[in-house]
Amino acid sequence: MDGGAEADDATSPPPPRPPHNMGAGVEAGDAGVRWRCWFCLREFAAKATRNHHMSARHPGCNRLVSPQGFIELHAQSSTTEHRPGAVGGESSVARGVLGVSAGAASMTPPTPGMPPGPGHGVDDGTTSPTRPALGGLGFVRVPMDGYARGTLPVRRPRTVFQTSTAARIRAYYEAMPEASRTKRLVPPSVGDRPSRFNTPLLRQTLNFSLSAGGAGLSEADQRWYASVLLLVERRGVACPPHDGRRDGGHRRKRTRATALVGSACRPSEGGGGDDEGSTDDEGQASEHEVGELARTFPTKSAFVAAVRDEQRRVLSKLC
Amino acid sequence: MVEGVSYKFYSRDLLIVALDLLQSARHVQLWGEELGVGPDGTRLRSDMMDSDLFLSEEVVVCRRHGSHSFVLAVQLFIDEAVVSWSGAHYIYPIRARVLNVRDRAVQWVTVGYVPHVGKPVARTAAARRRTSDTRNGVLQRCLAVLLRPFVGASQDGVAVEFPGQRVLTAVPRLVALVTDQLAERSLFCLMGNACEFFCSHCVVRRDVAGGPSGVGAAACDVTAVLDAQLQGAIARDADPRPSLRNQLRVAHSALAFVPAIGAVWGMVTDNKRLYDIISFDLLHVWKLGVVRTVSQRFPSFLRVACAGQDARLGPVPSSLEALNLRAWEMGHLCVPSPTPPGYVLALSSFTLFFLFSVVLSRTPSEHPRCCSEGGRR
Repeated sequence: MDGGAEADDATSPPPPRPPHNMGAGVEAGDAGVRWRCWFCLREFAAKATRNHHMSARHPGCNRLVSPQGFIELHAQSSTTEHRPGAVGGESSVARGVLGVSAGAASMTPPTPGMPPGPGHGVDDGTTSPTRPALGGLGFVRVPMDGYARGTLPVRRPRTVFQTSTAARIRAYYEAMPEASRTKRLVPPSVGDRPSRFNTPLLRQTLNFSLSAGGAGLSEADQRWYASVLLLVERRGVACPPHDGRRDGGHRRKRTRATALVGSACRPSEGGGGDDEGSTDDEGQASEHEVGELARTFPTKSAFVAAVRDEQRRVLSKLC
Repeated sequence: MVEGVSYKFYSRDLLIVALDLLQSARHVQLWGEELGVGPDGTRLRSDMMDSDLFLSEEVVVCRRHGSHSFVLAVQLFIDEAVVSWSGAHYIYPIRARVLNVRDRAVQWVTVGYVPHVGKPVARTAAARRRTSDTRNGVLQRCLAVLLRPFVGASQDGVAVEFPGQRVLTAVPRLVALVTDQLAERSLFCLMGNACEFFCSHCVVRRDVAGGPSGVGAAACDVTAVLDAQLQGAIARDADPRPSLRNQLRVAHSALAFVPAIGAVWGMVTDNKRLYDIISFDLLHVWKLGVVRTVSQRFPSFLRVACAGQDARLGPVPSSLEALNLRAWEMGHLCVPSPTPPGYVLALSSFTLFFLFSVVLSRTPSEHPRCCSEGGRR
């Protein structure tokens, strides 16, 4: 970029001065500026008056763009005044740069009083605050990296890019900010984690959660679904809600029975301590009888979170 | 950000999706082949890979990129009536399919979700204009984001290495756009109603369309329309007044937006296939009321087709009763579902064919067999 910046400094034309009697720009400070009709020789003091005149007097004419060869009165003077190299004073380097930007366009310099064709002007971004005009509406903005690094001039493959209709459409949308604001929905690092749904049963459970009814289960239904599955794995013994959270620091006082049943929901906790406390409805359960789902997702909240993580894991692989 | 409102567009990279599909396919056909002429002298066609559009694009691609290049043909499906089933977002999907993949199961992949723009609250012309601009702007910008790498690759090609072969150049092309007519006009940034030129392919005028004088209408000039649209879009960005768009409306029945699809190579360049890639989604049109529209013409059609005699099912009222019954039965077969639209053309064409065959067939029909075939498809 450094080389390109140096090249820009060396080859870009001098910054254009504002036209006469124009403060902030053509649109804002237009005191003294006359606006000539595109289709006749009448002149007006304001642009709106000129537009009204054209809509009333020339309704059948194209008012989207000015006719070929038309140039505003104030722009005529500025064009001839601020482009000293346009007639014949261009250096070879500058001419090469114009050739790079214009590509297949004509290399003949613009005549005074006539609008510069596409590719003739090198807009540095300070003269036109709007998007680069494309296709005969003004200047074609050459990107900052459009110049060759090091030596000039060098042909670039963008010569066709600047001239065909398809390329101009592409440039039109590339100039919009949306083109560079895209970002990944999920960071790629999320995709590096292994899936927790790594057995056929768990995969079928995930499949059902994400596809039941067409759109899959809602999070509330996923909780319900997980609680049903956990209940089945416990052979129908109810389990108190256990989400791994404390209700404001107030732990619920558990009876012996609920504590014993609850411990069956947490198979890996406590090691041998659970074995002596764990029991099913017949008092014969042990840790190896805990189901596969309960081993992986001890609580329904863990199941819901795992489903959400799995969705993000898959989305991270999409680009 | 369109008209001061921010919208989120969820999408995948269409180019990478297409290459992934190509890479994971079991059976791949890289080059098309013309099937030749049948015994009755007619040209034989089986699918898109031997269509004129594909073959002509293939010629251009091989001329530009050499003989070791092939067309990576992509179909897009866009339908605003097919809304996301999640219920959390009011968005509609864009789906893609790669024609080179010749696996048994047709695989449509969702590559993006376009946000839906609702109707305006205020009942003023300005509000309607703003909403219309927003709807067109959002759709085109979403497409521009979706097609961004695809556009570049359509010009330069992508090197693809197949196992056991040398590196080939895949040149992506859009060869089909499955939509209904409303979406077609929106995608091409053409006026949807009250327009003089309502056909995207030709410049037949509204008052002569359907008559003998409208038959020889000239084809639409793709480059001229898109150039005018591009200029109109630039002018609209600077000044959104509707009066400035009158010229565009009168001359081309076009909107002051430029279709983002036009940036794909081959749409506006070379063979200029932009308006040729449209493939109507018949099932969607069917569900939206094409039955009612067509059925209203059936009495007149039957009188002409039967030359004053009764149809196979009897006089006109009896035939219409049979048609209504069949339409009701077919309505049960056409259940909307979030499944990909691969079955669309087969089922719909069969349905239309069957409706006509019920009325006009001179041989006893086998209703249960035909019905079961339709259900299987």
